[in-house]
Amino acid sequence: MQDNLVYLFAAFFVTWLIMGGYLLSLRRQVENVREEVEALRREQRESVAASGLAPGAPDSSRVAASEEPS
Amino acid sequence: MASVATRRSAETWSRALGWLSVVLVAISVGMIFLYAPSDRVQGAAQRIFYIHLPAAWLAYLSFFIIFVSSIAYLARRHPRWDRLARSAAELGFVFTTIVLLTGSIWGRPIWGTWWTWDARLTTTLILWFIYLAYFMLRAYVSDPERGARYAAVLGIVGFVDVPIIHMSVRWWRTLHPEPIVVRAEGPAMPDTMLYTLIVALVAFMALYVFLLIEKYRVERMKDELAEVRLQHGV
Amino acid sequence: MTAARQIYAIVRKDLLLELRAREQVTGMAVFALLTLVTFNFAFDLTGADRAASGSGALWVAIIFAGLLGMGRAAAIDRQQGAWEGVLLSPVDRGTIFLGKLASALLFIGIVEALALAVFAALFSLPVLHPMVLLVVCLGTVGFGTLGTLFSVMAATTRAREVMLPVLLFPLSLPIVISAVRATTLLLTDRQAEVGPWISLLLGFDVLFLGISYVVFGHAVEE
Repeated sequence: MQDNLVYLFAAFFVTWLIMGGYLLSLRRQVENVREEVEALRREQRESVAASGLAPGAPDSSRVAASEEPS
Repeated sequence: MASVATRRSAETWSRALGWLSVVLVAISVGMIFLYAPSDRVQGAAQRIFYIHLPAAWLAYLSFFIIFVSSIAYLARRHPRWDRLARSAAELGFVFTTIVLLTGSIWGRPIWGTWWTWDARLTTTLILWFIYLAYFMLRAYVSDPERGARYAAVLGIVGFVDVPIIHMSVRWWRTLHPEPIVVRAEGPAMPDTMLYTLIVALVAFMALYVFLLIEKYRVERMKDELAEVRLQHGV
Repeated sequence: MTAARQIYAIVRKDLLLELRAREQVTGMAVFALLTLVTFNFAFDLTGADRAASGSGALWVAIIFAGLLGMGRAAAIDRQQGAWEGVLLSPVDRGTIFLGKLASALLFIGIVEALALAVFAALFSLPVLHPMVLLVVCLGTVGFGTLGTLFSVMAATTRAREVMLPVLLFPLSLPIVISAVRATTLLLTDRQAEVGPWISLLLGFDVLFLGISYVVFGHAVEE
């Protein structure tokens, strides 16, 4: 009767494997968003520098808000 | 759009919920292994029940959330409803996969087979395929707004269909001249089992809400980013 | 213009296109017949239990042919720009849905009439029984309803040939189960047990006709 312990461990293993995989995928999504925000920021800084205008384009607050979490 | 301050406080709450769910999951794993009694008939494998049942509830709960937010999206056309549906769909798919795999692993020692075409199993398998269709539909539509509408239509039709699928498979089995599938219906549950189950349910629920909030926030960031990109003409 | 005349106009347009191009019914019919012939070899439909597997073969032929036809119909509408014309006309979206459903049912119906006759002759099964015809009608309406809704959606996606079955097969499972089961019961002379299946088919048809009528407008706004 106790020899089916292996199935219990298998079920736990599979469950946490899937959850771990999902957490990793979520993390990768966040990383992608963050990278893109960084790229946009750099681009914006460059274009601001090139045009010689004062910083504070209308989108900077939104980009900051997007980048905030985690 | 929510202000930065609101978002920051939401983030604090979500982080607290995340830690709470970690603690709850740890407690529930402890209870599953140490506190819950061994089933006399099924032995250790019966303990799979404590992850299998909460996962099944969450798989179906996700579809309910998709259904409600799909209706809200089609009625109001606010992207937040679509984001909610998208987030719930991904979680629903994860939990449906867990249900199918743990159920299969549980069935092996108890029923002696990895799979039987019983009504609940078959319905869950079809649910998994509907989730898959839901993602493919979104992936294959290039315009995000249209993709959201299509997904909402599938969310509504699919949700109404799932109980009918269940009913038809059940009839198919019971009206079919074959032995009825053996059900693993044990005797009335002892209290210790019930408490373990309740803790496991609460733990999974907390984990689910935490993941849903986090996923929703990722989706919102993606949407906002797409908007910024559009404005910059990148 | 009343709804009935609007539906008639849409069916007439589809019929005209079909008469000129002959892209749907011929292909569907040949496909259905080939499916029946292939199934004969796959399952050996000559034995004593041929009624049980025969009804399965019949429904697979109907459903695959219907899938092919409805996917083709949506693609034809896209190609010729006919769909934009239909959407621009002052017709209610629900009525457009009923019109497209009517032409889909008409085309599938023609193919079914042929397939049933050939099936009856090839396997000497009493499929031309009125109850069998009722089951075929109810099953086709349910399948056609979901098919019409999804084929319009799938037609605007990439990989639309893949998308339509992926959407349609899981959701039409109740139709497949109850239609096959009811047909088997009728072919094996067990009319008494067929009642619940027919009510399931009927319920499915009514429910999804209603839902599709309402949501179709959201699927097609361009």
